[in-house]
Amino acid sequence: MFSEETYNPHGFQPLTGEKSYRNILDYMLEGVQILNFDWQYIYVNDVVLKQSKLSREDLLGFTMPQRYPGVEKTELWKILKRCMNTRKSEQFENEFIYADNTISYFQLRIQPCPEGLLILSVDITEYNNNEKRFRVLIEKSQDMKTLSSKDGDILYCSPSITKVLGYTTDEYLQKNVLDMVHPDDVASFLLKRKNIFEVPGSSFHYEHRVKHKSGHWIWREGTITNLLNEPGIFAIVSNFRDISERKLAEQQREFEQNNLNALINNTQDLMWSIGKDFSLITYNRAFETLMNFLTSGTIKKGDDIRKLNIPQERLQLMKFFYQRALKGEIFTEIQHITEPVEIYNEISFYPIYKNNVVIGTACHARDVTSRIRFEQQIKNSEIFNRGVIDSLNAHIAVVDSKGVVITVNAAWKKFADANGKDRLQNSSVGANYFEVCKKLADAGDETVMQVLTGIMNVLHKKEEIFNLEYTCSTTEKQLWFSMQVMRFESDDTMLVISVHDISERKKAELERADIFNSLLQRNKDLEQFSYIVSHNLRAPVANILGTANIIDNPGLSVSDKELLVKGVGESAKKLDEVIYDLNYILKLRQVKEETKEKVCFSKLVKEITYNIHHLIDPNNVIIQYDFSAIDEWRTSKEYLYSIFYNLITNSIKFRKPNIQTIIRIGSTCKDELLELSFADNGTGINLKKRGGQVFGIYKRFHLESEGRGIGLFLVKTQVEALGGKITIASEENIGTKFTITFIL
Amino acid sequence: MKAIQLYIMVDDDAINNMLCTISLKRYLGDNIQVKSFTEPELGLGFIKNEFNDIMQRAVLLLDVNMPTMTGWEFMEEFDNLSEEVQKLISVYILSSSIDEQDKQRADSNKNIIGFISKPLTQEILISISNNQHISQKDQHFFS
Repeated sequence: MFSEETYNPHGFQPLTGEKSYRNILDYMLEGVQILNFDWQYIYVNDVVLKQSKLSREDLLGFTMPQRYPGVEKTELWKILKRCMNTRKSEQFENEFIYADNTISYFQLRIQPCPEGLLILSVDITEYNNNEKRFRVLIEKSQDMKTLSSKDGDILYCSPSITKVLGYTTDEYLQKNVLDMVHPDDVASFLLKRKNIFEVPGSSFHYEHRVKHKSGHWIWREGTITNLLNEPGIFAIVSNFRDISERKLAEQQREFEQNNLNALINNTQDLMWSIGKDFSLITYNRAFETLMNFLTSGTIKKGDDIRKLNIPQERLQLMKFFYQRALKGEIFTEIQHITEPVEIYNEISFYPIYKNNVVIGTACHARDVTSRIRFEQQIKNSEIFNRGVIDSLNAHIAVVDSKGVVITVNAAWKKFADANGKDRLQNSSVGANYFEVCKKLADAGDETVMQVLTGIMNVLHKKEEIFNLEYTCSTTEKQLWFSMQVMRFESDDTMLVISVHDISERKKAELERADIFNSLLQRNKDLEQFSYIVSHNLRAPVANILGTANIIDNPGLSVSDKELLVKGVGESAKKLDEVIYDLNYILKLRQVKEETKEKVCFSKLVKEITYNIHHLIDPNNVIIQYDFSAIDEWRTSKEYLYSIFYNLITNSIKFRKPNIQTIIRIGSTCKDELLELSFADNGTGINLKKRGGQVFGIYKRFHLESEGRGIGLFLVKTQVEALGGKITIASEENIGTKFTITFIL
Repeated sequence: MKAIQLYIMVDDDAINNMLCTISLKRYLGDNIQVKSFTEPELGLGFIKNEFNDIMQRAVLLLDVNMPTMTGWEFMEEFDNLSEEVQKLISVYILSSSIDEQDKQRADSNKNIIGFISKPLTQEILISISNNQHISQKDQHFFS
């Protein structure tokens, strides 16, 4: 406690009336020191001694630079000097380093006083340390903190702001809260902020967007507290954190939820679910709209679906479906409704389980009318197309690029069925047409080989179309087909193979060819007739005429006359022969079926041999025959006799005189053709010279041989009358061979 | 110009040859020489060999339809003979044919003077003997 003496060690006389002030100074909580104008300590209270860790004696009477050398260079000294001169009080926070290097902080209030300067000092070391700790806490925190003025100017911001909002703390301090908040959020934020001004310590929670330095918006959530009146703060304090991610997730969730709802409620499809007791659990808008329309009422959750006011028939059907679903079956049914308008509904049922027990069913119905109609149209057009291709006589198959038969029409199928062992056997739907063809081609079927080549050419676009006419024999008859292969592009390249039975046409063509040939034959006959007339009839006639011209000539000798008369007789005889031959030849041609009989070739040869033994025996002729292949044929015996007779006698006539004449006769039978051959070792004939005339009427090539040149003509005529053909092969001095072919 | 004395007949019809020989002698005189061949090969042989010794103007009456050698084949051989021989022998086709084709074929051969349709008549023989061409007009058929 201060005494008078204690307070005046240097003879200082306190002012009267100031004693009590000194007392106050002595007992103040702050340190008090007074410096005179010469910077000497003239008063220090106990707190100062405590603060400076010095004794009163260490201070009083000393100047400050004496006590603290170097103080003139400090900020404190500047302030003290200024205050001494200006006589205006100042505040200063001073760091004080003790001799032991410990540091204390003092808040100094420097006031001018009559003696000089009065310095009040408060030890704020403790406070300062607390604040430091607090700052670290704030600055290391993920949460952000700002202090702002009433007007919104940023006074302080924690460094974590940089990480979240992009601004450096310095940049942020230039900002005003109002510039940072999203325009949509700013109004309500300001209002709430203003509201807390009235009540110190009050706060509010906010969520809003603030602008990131790069321009985008960050969602933040925080609390604002009014600490305007709080000493050491005097600001609006905002604690907040970045919630952008959470916000995004929330928005996503909300969007999805909205979307799902939108989907469910905006679809035309009906969705509803019922419980085990047939009560409506949930339904979408479409279901609600339809049911309200159908029932002319208002449905609601919990309604018994069996009691809805809809036609009984439909209700029964639905009830049946529900029961199935409630037994756990997942299924889809098409419901066909005809009243009031025709509708096809596709209804699907999905049982709802809870703990493995069906507790209801979710149902989904969709109007599939247009789809069903479209399907029906396609089906109809397929039926139509099918009908068209089935109605065609052509056998049609469609194969894909691999050769797989995609479809065949009725005609194709019918033919394949009817000709089970035929090539088409394996070409039903699903079979591989190319492989069937390949197999047959490998086996040597040339037609199929051609077909395969043609198909490949069309498939590989070397040809647009492939046509082939071919014949094939079934068990009953020979058939002709015309094949056409065309390509068309679908998803895959397809080939349409159509085969037309053109047997009828071919038959007609063959008939026409027959008619043509027979007309040609008639024409040849007429020419032949003209030839006969001009040569064989006219020659004797000319002789008779010539004789008639001269017979009256008076100069004729008796012997001449006799010769002439004899000549007339021979000419007349010749004339008669020709007329007889003509008659015979004209009678030939067609052989009637009823005149045919079984003729045995070997017997025929024996008969002829017997009848012409007068030609055979003296002329060294041997007749050999071999009819082992076929010895019997149903034909006209008269003609066949004539053919055999004429060919045998022909060979005898044109034998070589000095050798044994051998005539070989034989038969073969192949491919339903009967072949008869007559070969001799006679003189032969130069076919190059005479070939065209061998079978001509009245053609003779040898003067020595008797005959009128009608034998081979007769043979040919008769062979043709029996539907056969005759050919000759001959070489001079070697022999001649006649070959006759008949269709059996 | 002296009338032709030698007549060569080539025809397989012996009756025709006989008739023609009688007709030639009756209409043109007995001193006419007639050589007749029923085999054309022999007729050709005569022209090729013996005729070379005679070498006088002659008429050849040639038939067309003969078994071993036709008149046309005969003419092919004839065309190969010496020009001298060809000049001396006037060839006529004597045929019973009334076929137009035969006539045309005769016309197309330069060595054939005319086509005569049987029978031979007095008029035709006289023109032949005078070595007259039988004009196109005259080449009608005598029937």
